Amino acid sequence: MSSSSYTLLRGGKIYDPQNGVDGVAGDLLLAHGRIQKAPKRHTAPDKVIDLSGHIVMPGGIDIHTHIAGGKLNLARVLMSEQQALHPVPGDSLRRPGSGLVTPSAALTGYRYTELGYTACFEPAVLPFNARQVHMEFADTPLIDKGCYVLLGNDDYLLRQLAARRDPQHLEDYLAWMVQATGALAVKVVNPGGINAFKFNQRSLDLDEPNRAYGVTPRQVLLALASAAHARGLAHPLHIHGCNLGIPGGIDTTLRTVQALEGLPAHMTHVQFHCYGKEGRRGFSSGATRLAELVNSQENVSVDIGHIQFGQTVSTSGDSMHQYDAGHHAAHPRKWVCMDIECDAGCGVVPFRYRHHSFVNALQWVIGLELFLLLKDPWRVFLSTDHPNGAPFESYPHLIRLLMDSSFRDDMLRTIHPEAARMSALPGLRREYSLYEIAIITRAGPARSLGLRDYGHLGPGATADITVYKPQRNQERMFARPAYVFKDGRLVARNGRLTALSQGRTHRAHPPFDPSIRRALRPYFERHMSMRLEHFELAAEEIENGGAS
Amino acid sequence: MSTPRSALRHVVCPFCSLLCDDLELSPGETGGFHLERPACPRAAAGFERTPGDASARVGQRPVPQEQAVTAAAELLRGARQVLLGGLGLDVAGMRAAVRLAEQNGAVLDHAAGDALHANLRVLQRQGGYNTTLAEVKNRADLLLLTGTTATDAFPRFLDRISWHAPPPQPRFGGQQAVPLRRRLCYLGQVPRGRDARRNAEARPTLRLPCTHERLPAALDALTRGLRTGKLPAQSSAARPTTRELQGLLNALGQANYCVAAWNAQQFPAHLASSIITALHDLVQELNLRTRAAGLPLGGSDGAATAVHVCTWQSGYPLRVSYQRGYPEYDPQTHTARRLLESDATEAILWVDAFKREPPRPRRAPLVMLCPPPAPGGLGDQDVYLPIGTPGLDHAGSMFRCDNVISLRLGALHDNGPPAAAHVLDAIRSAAPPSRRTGSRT
Repeated sequence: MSSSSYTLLRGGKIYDPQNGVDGVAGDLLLAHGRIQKAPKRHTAPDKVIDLSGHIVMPGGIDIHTHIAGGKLNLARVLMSEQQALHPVPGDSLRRPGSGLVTPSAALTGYRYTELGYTACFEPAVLPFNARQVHMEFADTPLIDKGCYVLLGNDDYLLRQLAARRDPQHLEDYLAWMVQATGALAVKVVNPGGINAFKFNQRSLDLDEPNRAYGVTPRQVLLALASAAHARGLAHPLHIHGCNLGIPGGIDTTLRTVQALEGLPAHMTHVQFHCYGKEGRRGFSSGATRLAELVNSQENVSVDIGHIQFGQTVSTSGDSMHQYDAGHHAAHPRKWVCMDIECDAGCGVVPFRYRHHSFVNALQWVIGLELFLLLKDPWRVFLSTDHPNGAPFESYPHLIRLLMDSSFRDDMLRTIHPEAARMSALPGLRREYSLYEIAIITRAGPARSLGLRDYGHLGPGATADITVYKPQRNQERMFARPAYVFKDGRLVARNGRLTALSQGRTHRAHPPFDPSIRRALRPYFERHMSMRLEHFELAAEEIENGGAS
Repeated sequence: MSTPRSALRHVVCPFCSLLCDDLELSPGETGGFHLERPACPRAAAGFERTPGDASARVGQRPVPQEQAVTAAAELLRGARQVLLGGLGLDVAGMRAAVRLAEQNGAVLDHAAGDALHANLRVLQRQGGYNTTLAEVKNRADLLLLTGTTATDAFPRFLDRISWHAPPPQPRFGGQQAVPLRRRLCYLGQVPRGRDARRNAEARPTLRLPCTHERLPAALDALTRGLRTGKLPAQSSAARPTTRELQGLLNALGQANYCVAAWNAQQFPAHLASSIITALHDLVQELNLRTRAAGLPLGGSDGAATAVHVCTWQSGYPLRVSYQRGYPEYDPQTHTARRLLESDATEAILWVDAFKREPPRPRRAPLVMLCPPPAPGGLGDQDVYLPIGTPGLDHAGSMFRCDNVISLRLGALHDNGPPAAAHVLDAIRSAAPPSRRTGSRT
């Protein structure tokens, strides 16, 4: 479509929560890659697409999905036998590739687009791997991309906290790091714990000091959350807390939310941080307690990290807990961890979630309980922590679980009976509406990331639009959108790609005092393995130089 | 002006996978660059290369570049089985190589494919725990070099991890941090000759010379020694001796963060897998009580770059065939070594921006892309196309030996031969997909 042509999408039922539109039939006029003001009479569209009887939403936005970087490549290598189960030939449009759980880069762009997603955010970019992430982004077509840089286990930050450096310095460091790595936001993983593991600490609770620095996870969290806030990052600190996957971890999670002292924060894949240790098996759901707290704390948003049954591979920066998981739960029995560059770590552990495993079944239950108990959809985002809980291909199935309580009941009957008995699900009859689905998969993530022109269908919005043909089975409906438009251009029809485009990379430009470089340069020369100026990414290394 | 006259500082070096970024160069008199500092034979030789006759060739005849591109495309188009090997490339070059392989149904393998896959196979079978250079520099208090001196292939390895640095050496920790007491152990290979002089300051604490053949048993003995507290009995004549092993076992037990480094390229093919397996087992045994990690050295001549780019683009770490229109991974079959000698291979495209060595022996016509001048030993049907070296003739990005890290390399002048990516793209445009393999559409 040339930039001057006008396309009219006529008569679809529009779900645009950002603008308060809940299933009202209407028209959308697209031109120059954006949604235009109400069609003018004298503007004869070049093309009219009749969408009567169709459902129209903004393009999907995945706020937490591991789609690029060194740990993904490690997972692909480790699980080559699994890659081989999904060979994908090329055609006149697509490049060949492989993989379902960890698809090759181009496939990631194709498949997300065919599912109606138009923007995806890689949440775990360790600073020294950022260059690679942007290279992979450049090879991931169609969708918009962005990433969150990992801080809080870097020896530099912990040294500054130990030395009680002024907040200004930490803010400059954080803002410089966001710019140097082309990131949109900041994430912390197991605050200080990955670092502590390098000093042979095997666990680290919220108020436990790192043996080397005497700094606690609480201090790290507060420092980063306030620095991100002070430097005006739209997306608040993205937190993967302490004690992931540990029975009893729910207590830490609740204390973590309280530790934030009202600062804005996003708690990610909370399902994995929501385990109690009650019951005969010492493993129980903490969903009610977490939901109660989050419902009352307006400063906090969450994504769920729901699991689905089947084979997947988890890729995480949390080397401390992945090391443990590797020993106890890897399936097949092999895993890779790394300590990385005095910066972070990573762990890749294959998992097979089973219906008939009590623990896995309860994990599945907990994710759904959280979705259903958390009241404000604007503070809940749909995620499976792709591929850690399940590959993104399973989103349509998850959406059906949220929208159809009888389907949920049917599924509940297939899981480990003791987990089903312990579950609160039978009493939770809530069914997500299309409007709410549009919030948790579009409007909410866009708002949280500060992407003003995305996640809605008002005039001026980027014309990223997904159109569904209604079906009783929502899984089928969401698996094959009738139309997907990216920047106003039709790129997929009935779940099949029809055109290519590149998408852009969203990054933030928080201000910092340039003298931070003077402070960092000697540290880089003494401790790091490259010079500061070679660490900082050049604008041309970030696709399109960054968009926002 | 095409070449800067003044000294160049903080240059990133592409000539081994350490990718040192602190080089100082001055323009040489005959067109190359002189390495002012630091001392490194590999970097000095690489940068001092003077541009020779940069003409393309078909057979022995110098021809215009376009004519050689057309000849190369014709060779590839007519071939059912193509090997796209060498792959001494930067990221852009490797991207272009994968594209070309996709189009022409080629098999991709690196010149050092055997060593790469020795490491990858063990990783795929049992996983592992690895580390990176800055961690070694700041945390390692025991460096166990097994079957390698590291500096024999990576001359500045010990400099890069500040092993020679005068005290206080880098250290981490809060107020109570004490300088690392570092120990260096050579197991197997020990430095000799020039390598030994270079390492004089390294002052190894332990030397356990032995043959490669002895390494698996020696490593297993250490792992079992850690597990049971006692070394298994062995014949008294064997090196390393029980006494030597006991010394190393004690050091392993005392270390807070042990790094075991090796270079699979230096192991005999039949032993590589068992040595690497034993190394990972040792690291994992150590990790049960203290901290330890492996550091598989290698990845030079674009090997680390090729693995990474191929993995995110195809889903597999090289040894991929696109003959059926989708990537098929078979590390035993899709090897450059086998395909070079196979009668079924109908064309070979060998691309290496670092070395000027046509693959040998080979049976099929060759399209050779390497820095000029054309290497010797090309046959009448062969085609030569000159390419530049990233970090010298053109800018580019490459991955470092520890795999996670990549650096951007600059161009030192603007009149060098074209980048491999450019030439590979030209061949791809001139060689539209063959229709002979029915499965490709």
